[in-house]
Amino acid sequence: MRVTASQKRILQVLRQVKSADLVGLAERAGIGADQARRSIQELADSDFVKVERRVTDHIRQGANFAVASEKGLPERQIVSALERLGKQAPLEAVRTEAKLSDDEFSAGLGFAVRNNWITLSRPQQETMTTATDPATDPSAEELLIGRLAGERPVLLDELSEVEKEGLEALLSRPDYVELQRMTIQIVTLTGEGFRLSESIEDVPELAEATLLTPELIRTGKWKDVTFRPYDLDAPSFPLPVGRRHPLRELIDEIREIFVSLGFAETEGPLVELAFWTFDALFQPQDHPARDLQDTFYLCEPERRRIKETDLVERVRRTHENGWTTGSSGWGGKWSLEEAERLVLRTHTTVVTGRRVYEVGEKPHKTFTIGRCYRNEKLTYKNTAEFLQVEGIIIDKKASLRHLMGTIQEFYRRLGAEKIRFWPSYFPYTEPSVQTSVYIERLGTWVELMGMGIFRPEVTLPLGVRWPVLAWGGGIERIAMIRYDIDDIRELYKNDLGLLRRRPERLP
Amino acid sequence: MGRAPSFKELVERIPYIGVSLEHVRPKEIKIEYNPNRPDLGIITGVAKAYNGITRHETGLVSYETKDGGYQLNVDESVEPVRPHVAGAVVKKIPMDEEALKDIIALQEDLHQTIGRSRRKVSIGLHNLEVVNFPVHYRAVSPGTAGFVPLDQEEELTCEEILKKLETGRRYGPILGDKDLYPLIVDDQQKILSFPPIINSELTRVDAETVDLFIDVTGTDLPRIQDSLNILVTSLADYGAEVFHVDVRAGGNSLKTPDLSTRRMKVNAGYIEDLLGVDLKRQQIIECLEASRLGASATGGELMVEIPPYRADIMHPIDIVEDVAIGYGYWRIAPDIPKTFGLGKSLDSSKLERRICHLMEGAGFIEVMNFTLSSFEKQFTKLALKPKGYVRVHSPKSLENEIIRTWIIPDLLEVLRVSKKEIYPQRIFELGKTIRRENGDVVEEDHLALAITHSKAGYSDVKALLDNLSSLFEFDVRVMETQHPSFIPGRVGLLVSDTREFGILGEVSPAVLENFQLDQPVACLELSISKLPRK
Repeated sequence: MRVTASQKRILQVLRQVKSADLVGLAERAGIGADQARRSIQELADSDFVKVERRVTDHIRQGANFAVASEKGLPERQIVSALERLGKQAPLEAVRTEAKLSDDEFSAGLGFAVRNNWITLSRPQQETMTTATDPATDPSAEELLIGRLAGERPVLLDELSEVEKEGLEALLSRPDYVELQRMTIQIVTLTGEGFRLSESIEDVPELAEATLLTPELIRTGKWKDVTFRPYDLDAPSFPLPVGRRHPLRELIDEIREIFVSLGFAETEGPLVELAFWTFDALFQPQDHPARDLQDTFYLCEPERRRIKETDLVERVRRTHENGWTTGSSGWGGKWSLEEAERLVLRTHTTVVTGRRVYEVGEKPHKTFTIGRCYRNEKLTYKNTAEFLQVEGIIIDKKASLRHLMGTIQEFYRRLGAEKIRFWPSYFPYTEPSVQTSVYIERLGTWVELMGMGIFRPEVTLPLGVRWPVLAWGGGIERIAMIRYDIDDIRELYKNDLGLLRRRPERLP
Repeated sequence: MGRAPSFKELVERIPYIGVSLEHVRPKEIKIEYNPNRPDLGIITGVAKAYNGITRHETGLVSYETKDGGYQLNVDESVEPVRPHVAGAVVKKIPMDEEALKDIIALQEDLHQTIGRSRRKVSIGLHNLEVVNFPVHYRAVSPGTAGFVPLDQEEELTCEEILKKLETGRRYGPILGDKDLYPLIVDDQQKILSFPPIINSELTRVDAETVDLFIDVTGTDLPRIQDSLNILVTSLADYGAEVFHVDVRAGGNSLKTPDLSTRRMKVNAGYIEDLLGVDLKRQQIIECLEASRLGASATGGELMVEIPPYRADIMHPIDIVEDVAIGYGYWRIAPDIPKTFGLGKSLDSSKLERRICHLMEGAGFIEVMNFTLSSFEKQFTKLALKPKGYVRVHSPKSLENEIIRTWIIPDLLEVLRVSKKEIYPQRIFELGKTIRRENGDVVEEDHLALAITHSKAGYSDVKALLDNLSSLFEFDVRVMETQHPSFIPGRVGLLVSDTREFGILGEVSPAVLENFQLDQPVACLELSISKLPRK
């Protein structure tokens, strides 16, 4: 059996008093009330003590108590004044010296006489007072006041006979003390506890520690120590955790999906030739999307030479008259100057388009994730820049069904099961397909990725006769669903509070 | 439609003609059609397509024109101004407010799509009753001719119209600085129209007008004819009669509109392969008929007949899509392709991911800002003179005038908006920057980070730099430098043997004031693209 230092002291006190209220016990043992409570609880758990609740009176200080405690009761102040005057003085001189109110003085005088502290005599005309000797024996009232001066409430039961007399006397005087009911815990030594207390000096002491220090570990002293238990449910300080941006998390997730489906990631520059952005994708030069109103053109450098001169020629012919693609083309005159302009890419299809040219007629699966731009004002649903994911499959046997199958699998892995495909239009694909997915949580269909098979007017000039399946879509849109956001600006607001406290969302 | 499909059926099926549902309200469906199919921009076109895919009415709708002896003479003066014109007369339109609204909406859509905002094609609709044939298309000097424009009360010259009327200011630039303006006038020299700007009040069309004269002018004759065809076939679908106009230019005569069908040959195997669906010849023909085309088969070759309103079909691939639409996209079963590929992410993506994890582990919050920026944000607030930036043309917002050359300004802005948040604050961003160097653009991936709290300082970011350099194994020296955004003596350039690739330091109090920050900030920015890796 090992006990802590506090428990040891508690048992030592209890061996003398057998039983005590918890607060009083702690005080006598010289330990804090909280610590005593835990120590006693442990002793009670091991049946060394038993704890009972009891309702009792305790004595509270009244309004006049503080003055009485500091300066003494009026009778004491009168005796003190008399002593200062040489132990014998005329009554009026004592009254002046004591500086008490008339009521206090006359009441105090009465008690001082009753206590045999002074005597009154009238040898001549004036009333004289003589201090008895010794006049300093404390009265019962004073003993009680001394007892109550501590911070701990004193119980009626704890008072000695003379203190009880003092209480009796003080209760009859104005506002020095009063009685109040309270519930207390009485700690009593059990038989076993008593036996333990008899040999308590020999019981090894278990020290109590707050922190487990390296010192304790290294020296092995931890064996002699018990750790003060904590308030396990106490509120904590906010932790400054590091986190990734929600868009980053989604990008990583999307990348992982395509990699796991056998797609190789690719990338391309943000500043692109209009040629690769539009012309190579068979977007006519007078297409509204190519206006300054919609596309960011660079001021300086404004143009760049296109290296692939053979390709330029094929693209020019395809636009003007269809070249050998079997198309009618757009007619009119195609301008090289227009194609040499530099833009901030408007879609990631420019990256996959370049890829088709590089790879040629080989089975190939690739994807890209990147930033795109369009000349827009910032609103709750539009931004001037956005992230896109885009992918292609080059295969002799690729078909519309394969395109649908790929996208369906992508959506499934993102967590959407119900998918709808319907005919749509993009300048560079035919057939073209639009998709929407059903979001259970919102109870609605949401349009996501657009897709199609690259037109022959796109692929043939790039040197590929095989079908090229292509799809692409905005990442912010998926993020808005994932994170329950209905204002796209939220994603770029970067309020640290939101980023720190954003809930983790699984697919 | 000739029948009443249930509302539920309509909502369910209508997207499969190739339109998107914009909204569905009780008793109202709003659809958005695609710009390649302006013929779906009017209720009759939608009904035609819908009846097709639901197999209620399939096959080609044929259109014909009657001869009413209408003639349009083209003067050679229009050649340098707006050279081409076509015309039609349409009678017995079952006109009411609703039909009028639809027809005008279609006219406007044609202007925007095929017409390229009236530049290529513009359409004038006139009350036939007040027009005296033959009409004439000619060009005149800006100040000479005057007429009362539509919705106006007084007569204005062409010049005044371009200056005074909103539509004149909007479409006037199409005419540029031409010294002649095109006009359509009737045989009594009354001005009907000033294309591509405005019609005259004289020929106003309202809900009582049942007979129309239509003029279409522009720069591209095939597109002019496409637009006219779409408009008159839509009116014919309403039940109107179409009369052609004999357009005479020089010695040539052209009857417009020409509502005959076009033919295109398509290989059946090509269709099956691309769709991935096995189809018998007859099935393909039925699908095409459901898309309101005509078709017949000779062996593996299909001869497809294309109605005059289908201006979008320019290659056999467009026929493939019509087969798919006729078949029904909802019936096409998705299939996983067998194409083999090795899944792999880019090395740069892997590096970014590792850096991200390290920063995350070091207690940094990732932020993501736009790469478009302004001179104010990138330079002025940082006490810098603008340099090395790439600027864009005509941004709609001044927030988007340049592309950022560095990220630290964006991080300071994040700290500004997050001032009420608990300190210390540690943030980072991995992102693109673009600079102009030697006449070309240089795109780089940057890592930028900022630390702020009451005792934040140089050593905080230097510790991070040392950590990064040892973990990612690159050599770095810090070289003293002068930089107006930072406190002198507490800012350094990151250099390797060969080049500089970043900066770190304590942000100057003047800059902090610009961002209303009252805690010290230490920053680091380095180019990942230039990391001198061992």
